[in-house]
Amino acid sequence: MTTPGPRHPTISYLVHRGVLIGIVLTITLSTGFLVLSAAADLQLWVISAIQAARDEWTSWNWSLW
Amino acid sequence: MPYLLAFIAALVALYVLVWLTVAAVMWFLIPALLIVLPIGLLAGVFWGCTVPLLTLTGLRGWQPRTITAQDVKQGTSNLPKLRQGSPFGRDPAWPSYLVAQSRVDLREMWRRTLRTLGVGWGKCRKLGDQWDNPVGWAVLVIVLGPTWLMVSVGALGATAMILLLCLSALLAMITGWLLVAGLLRGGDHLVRWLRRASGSCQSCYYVSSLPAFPCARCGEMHRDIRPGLLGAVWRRCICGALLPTTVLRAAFQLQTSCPNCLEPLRAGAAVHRDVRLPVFGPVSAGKTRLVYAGLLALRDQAAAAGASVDFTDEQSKRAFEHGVEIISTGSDTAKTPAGQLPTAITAQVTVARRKALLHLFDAAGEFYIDRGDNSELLFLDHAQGLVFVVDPFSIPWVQDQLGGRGQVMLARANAAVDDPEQVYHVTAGRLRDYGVQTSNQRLAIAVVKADLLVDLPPAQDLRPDRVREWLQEAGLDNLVLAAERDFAEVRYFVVASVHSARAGSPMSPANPFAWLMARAGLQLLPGEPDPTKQTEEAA
Repeated sequence: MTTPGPRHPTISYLVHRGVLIGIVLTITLSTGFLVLSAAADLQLWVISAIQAARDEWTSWNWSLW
Repeated sequence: MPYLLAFIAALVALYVLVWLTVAAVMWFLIPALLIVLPIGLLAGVFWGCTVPLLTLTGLRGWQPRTITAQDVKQGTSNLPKLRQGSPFGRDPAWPSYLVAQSRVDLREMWRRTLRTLGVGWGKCRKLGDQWDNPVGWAVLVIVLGPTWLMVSVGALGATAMILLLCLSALLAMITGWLLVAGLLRGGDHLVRWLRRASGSCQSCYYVSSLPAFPCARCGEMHRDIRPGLLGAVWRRCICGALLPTTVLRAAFQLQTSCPNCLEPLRAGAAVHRDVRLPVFGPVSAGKTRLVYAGLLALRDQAAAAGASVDFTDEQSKRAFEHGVEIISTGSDTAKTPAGQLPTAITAQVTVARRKALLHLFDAAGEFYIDRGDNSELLFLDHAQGLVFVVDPFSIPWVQDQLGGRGQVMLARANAAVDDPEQVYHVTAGRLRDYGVQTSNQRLAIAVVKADLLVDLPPAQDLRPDRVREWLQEAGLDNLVLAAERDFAEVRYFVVASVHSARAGSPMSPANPFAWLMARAGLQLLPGEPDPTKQTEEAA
């Protein structure tokens, strides 16, 4: 009497997963957009941080001598 | 002196070493970390977004375990346990994504992220084992470790954020789903409650407001089709067929079945009002004839009032046609087989736009003679009213009154042998034993074979409005007393189970049924038949 049913996800599963995929994609793209738009600032921050570290070293270095 | 020089040289060397180390850290390591760590963090965020995406899409074989209808059937679907602890478990249908699969998917996203990060940490450890020297360990602890830590922080943060947002979206969807399921379930229940709908099995006599529905494609039985965890508007059977969820919708699209014996129920069961009327009395009292003549008269009465009485199932149709033939030709009714439980004759009564199912149960008289024989007559327990058939020719007082014509008349009337009072007490005792509240039920006592009795001396005082008094006079005063004590309401009828007793007449065989139907909320005519009133009008 029992007919083995399909083992693959139903349309309802796929639709709901589609919604979740949409959410994940939105978050991913939003994060990507934020990172790209802030890339220049980030680069500046990294460069200034490196510069600050080196300046610190220079002042310390001379005081050592 | 040489020792002093050596000490000074060592101090200088140490100083140079420290200087070089600090220079390396400040000039190379810190700038490198300032570049690598944010990049690691961003990579982690990207990975934390990618893993859920890959998990949901099933790419790279990362698809979570699918909760199928088979899991629901086997009880491995993580659905909450059934409250009533049904012995049959859940129906073989796919669960709603929101209640089972969504949890698996979210859990798998988090686990997969943890697993991939764990693989990275494992590789770091392996590298540390391979570089079994201080420089290698330093690279591992100072560069690789912090970098992968940032990747992990970014990935876990991003996955947590995604899970939080997905959870919020799922909660919103669950709220909507609950609203739809609740409205459908409540509406379905309300309509059926207002109609006082229930499904009674014509075979095993089980009465339930929730029938079972076999899938039209695979035949798998769905015992609780109502909106719930297996679907709000539709549910998908284990075979893939789409089934409606409410009883009202399912009853129109699927075969309704008895949840007890799985026999198909009559069309309209559990959707329309269900009226169950057993007819009981001694052997040869005239029960079957009363049922046939009563149904025929009810049909005529309904037609005259613009209503209809139809027989939708083949079994009932055949029984009715057979009954019509017997009543129309005036031939004798065959003896109902003793020991064989009766199958209900079901009529669909339509009054205006309202429909109801009328089930008449007619068991052989042998069942009512002995208390031990009627335990299987479960239809007595679920009846809204009962018809007790009294054969006047079985009353000793009537037999005495008949005098010399007695034997001829008794043979002609095929008189019942058993005492009606005994039959009544056996049946009433059975009802009490099975916990039936007879004080809430109605009893129609029908004195039948009036067509044979009407011109004879014992029937001199037998009029539709004086049946009670006539029974008392005939020596059945104890029966009258017991019936009125046991039942909420007792009405007395004198009935001629013949075709000439027209519908609506004081001796119509439809009268006991019409009265009980009206009391059960199924009024066939604007005013229920009142023999007293009709006799006065006739007079």
